[in-house]
Amino acid sequence: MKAVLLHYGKLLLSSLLLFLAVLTVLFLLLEIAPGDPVQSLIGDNPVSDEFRAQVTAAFGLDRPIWERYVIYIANVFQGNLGYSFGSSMTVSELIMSRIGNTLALALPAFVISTLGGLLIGAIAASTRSRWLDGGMSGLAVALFSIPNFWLGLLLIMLFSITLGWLPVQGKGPYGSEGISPEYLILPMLTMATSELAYKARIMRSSMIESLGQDFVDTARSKGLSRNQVLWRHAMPNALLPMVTVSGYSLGFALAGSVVVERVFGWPGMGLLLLDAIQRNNNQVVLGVTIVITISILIINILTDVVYGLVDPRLRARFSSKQGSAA
Amino acid sequence: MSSTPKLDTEALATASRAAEAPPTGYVKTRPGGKRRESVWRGFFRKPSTIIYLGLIAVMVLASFVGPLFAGDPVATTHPQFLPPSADFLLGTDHLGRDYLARVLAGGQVSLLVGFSVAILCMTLGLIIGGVAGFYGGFWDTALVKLAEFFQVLPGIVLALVAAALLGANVWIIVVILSITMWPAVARIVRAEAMRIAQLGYVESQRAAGFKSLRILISDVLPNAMPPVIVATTMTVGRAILIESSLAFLGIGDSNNPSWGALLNSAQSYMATGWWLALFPGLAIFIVVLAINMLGDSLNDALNPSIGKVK
Amino acid sequence: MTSPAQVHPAPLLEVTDLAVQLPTGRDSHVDAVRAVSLTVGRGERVGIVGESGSGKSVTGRAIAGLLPTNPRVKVRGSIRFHGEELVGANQRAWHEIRSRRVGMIFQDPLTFLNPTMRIGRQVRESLAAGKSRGAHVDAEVLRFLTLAGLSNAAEVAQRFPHELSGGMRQRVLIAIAIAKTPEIIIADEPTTALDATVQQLVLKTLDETVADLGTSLVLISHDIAVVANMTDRIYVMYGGRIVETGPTQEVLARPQHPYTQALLRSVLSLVDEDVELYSIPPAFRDWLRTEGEALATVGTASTEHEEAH
Repeated sequence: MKAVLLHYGKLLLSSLLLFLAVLTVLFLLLEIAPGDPVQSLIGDNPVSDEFRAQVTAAFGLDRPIWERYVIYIANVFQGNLGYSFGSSMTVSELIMSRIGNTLALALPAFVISTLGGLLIGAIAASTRSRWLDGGMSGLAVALFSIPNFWLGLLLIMLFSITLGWLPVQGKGPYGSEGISPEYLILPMLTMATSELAYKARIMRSSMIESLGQDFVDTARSKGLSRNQVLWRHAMPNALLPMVTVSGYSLGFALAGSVVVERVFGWPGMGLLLLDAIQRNNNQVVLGVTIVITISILIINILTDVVYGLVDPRLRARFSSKQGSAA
Repeated sequence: MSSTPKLDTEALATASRAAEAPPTGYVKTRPGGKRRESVWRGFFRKPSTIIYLGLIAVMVLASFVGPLFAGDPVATTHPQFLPPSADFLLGTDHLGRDYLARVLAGGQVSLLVGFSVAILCMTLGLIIGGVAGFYGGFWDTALVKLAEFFQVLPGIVLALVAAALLGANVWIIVVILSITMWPAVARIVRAEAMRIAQLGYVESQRAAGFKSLRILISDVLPNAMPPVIVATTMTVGRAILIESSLAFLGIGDSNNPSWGALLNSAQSYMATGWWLALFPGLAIFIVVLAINMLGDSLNDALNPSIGKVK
Repeated sequence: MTSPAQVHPAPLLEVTDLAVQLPTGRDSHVDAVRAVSLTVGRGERVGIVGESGSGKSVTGRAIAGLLPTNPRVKVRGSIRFHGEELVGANQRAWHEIRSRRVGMIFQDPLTFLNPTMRIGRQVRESLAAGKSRGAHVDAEVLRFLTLAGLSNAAEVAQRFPHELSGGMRQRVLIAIAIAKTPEIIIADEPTTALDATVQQLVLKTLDETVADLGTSLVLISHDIAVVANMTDRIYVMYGGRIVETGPTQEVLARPQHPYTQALLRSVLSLVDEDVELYSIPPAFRDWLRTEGEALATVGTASTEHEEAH
């Protein structure tokens, strides 16, 4: 048990330090950015001088840099990400209202891309037919090389504009709350595609490596059929590294959701970020960046936990049993 | 066991006298060497390699030399929204500009960023990964932590933020992308450095008194190159994709729009001009595909396996 | 040719002029086994001794049907099991061999066991009584684990390979090999990956198990000591060929072939100061490889002659 606590303690501490480092970098970026700091807080909105003075005091803009840094860090850890003057909400509230939309895209895309990637990779690696392998690998490379926003545009041009089967933009018909399914399809597909290609490629090489391991010989020596060897022995071992890969891919997809949301006008965190950048609403910009960073760190920790549960060699971490002597 | 067995010394003696030069088939003491040279030559002769390299060369030429022969990408004198035809191979855009000229010129920024980032990443990766893997200990721990930090940074987001705050200069983009992408290369270098550092001949060099730094530079790193070359190749592709994503989001020089930027404008006109959204993206796709396939092919050549044996 | 059946019962396994070619690169290959002939009788224990690269492991795998499935692998010659020819036979015949007749014990128990599968299940897969589940099947698994020398079989069956020691893992490999109640067990360097003390224990286990079950044994090793005490007959391999064969004690006491002599000298030089190490000059090495055929089977005792066919 002690080993578990130690391991995760270290992991959490490490994540915390990384988070602090990222916050510091963001703070410094803001500091060196040209322009009036008060204005950058307020954004495009015109304000009175009184208000200016208030803001300056509230955010400690007239204090030395060290104090501002501490205030900033303290704020973040209290969940206070600032205030968005343009929309009269706190940044946290604003992000919370949008994060659901991004997750509605990212999570199904994650599931589809993982399943699809594993399947394609496993088939490509285990087939004896060079054509099938070449075909699947070729497909994976092609999807891996396609810029996903271009794919999105092409899909829109084909399915929305030419065929009229699916809507062009947005998450639902104008004025409606919630997400309508037919609006979800294209953005989710676009997001899933590059993730799928990446996972398929890695699964293929993981599977090939797994098939080259010695225990496959032992399995063959038992008279097991080729399929039994593939799916019962090679596959589970090939899946282990895929846990880490999938986690990493999810984090990357979350960061890249900006692009997909821009293509489809999907009102998620990414689009929020873009709008905020354009309107110089730096509080929101920082807030979204911080939330994305936290998400990535959380995903990394979760990936570690899942991997620890899935690999029997690491499961010992969670149990008190140790190996016995000869 | 009974007494010492008698040797047929005569036969053995004749044979040993006849033995002069060392037998053939021994490889050079330095890993790689002769075998590696023939791998390279075989690789460059492969038809697929030639095709990929050719494609990349064509795109590079088209981007940097092509605009000299194409029309003016800025002149808005032509009719708007002309579909591709004999006069305008790629049609005209919403402002009546020759799209072929614009697409040709669009490659310059993307390709420049792609190759620059790859070279920077390779350099950074070699230095940081090499030091971490070879010297180990404190340096290793510290540098690995550093790499972790840069990998946690959400790349595109950070680039957006930084570009928004500092301006959308090409070189700023190159620096930011390199900062987020070097850990992947460094990881590979580190693994190779650690592996090579354990090989016997490195120990013997140390014992012979060579300075560690010299061993690192002249022996360890050159032998680590094959996977690094593959990783660097793939970095070019990834960098081009990220740069075009950024350009699509609006980060870039509006006077010299890259392919991504062209797609940004094209989005508003998808219904009226399909060619506006098709060609710049197609260009990105072709270049990145050729680069990635080249990288895969390199990987197969430099890390040979006897195929899927079992 | 006199029928051997009149003198001895037909050998269980007859290998004649076996040659195996393995791919080593995109365009290259190696003749791992050049012209190997050997026999194994029922209940007999046979040893194959040779250095790395002599082709002994490949011979073992060829007999067990475990060569790589790469189409560039070429096998020539004859392998007869109970008189039935296996070279060029269809998958059915080989499947029979792998699942019932021949059990193989591999070298490195850490890499040869599936790290993500429990021991019990890995043994169960080897059982001949179909691959079903049920109480009787579990009992069989425990029986074989115990037979293989694992006293706490029930506990071991629940574990994963990494939770066991090297010696225990090797015994699991033994259990897997005997669980299908084979007629021949091929043990390929079964103790090489183990510590010296554990080696003796595992060999003893192997000895007892084979004796209990009455199976034939082909013991492959580079270590003469391992083979010396456990086998009735021995084959010495070099460069893909058999260079000497005969009853084990005979060959070790009065080796006829220069290679065997040099091999024994190298072993003796470790214990006897007066014996000098002798290494084979490179040119002789090549000669042995290509011309060695002429020197093959320089057997001594007449017993060897009787077993020839």
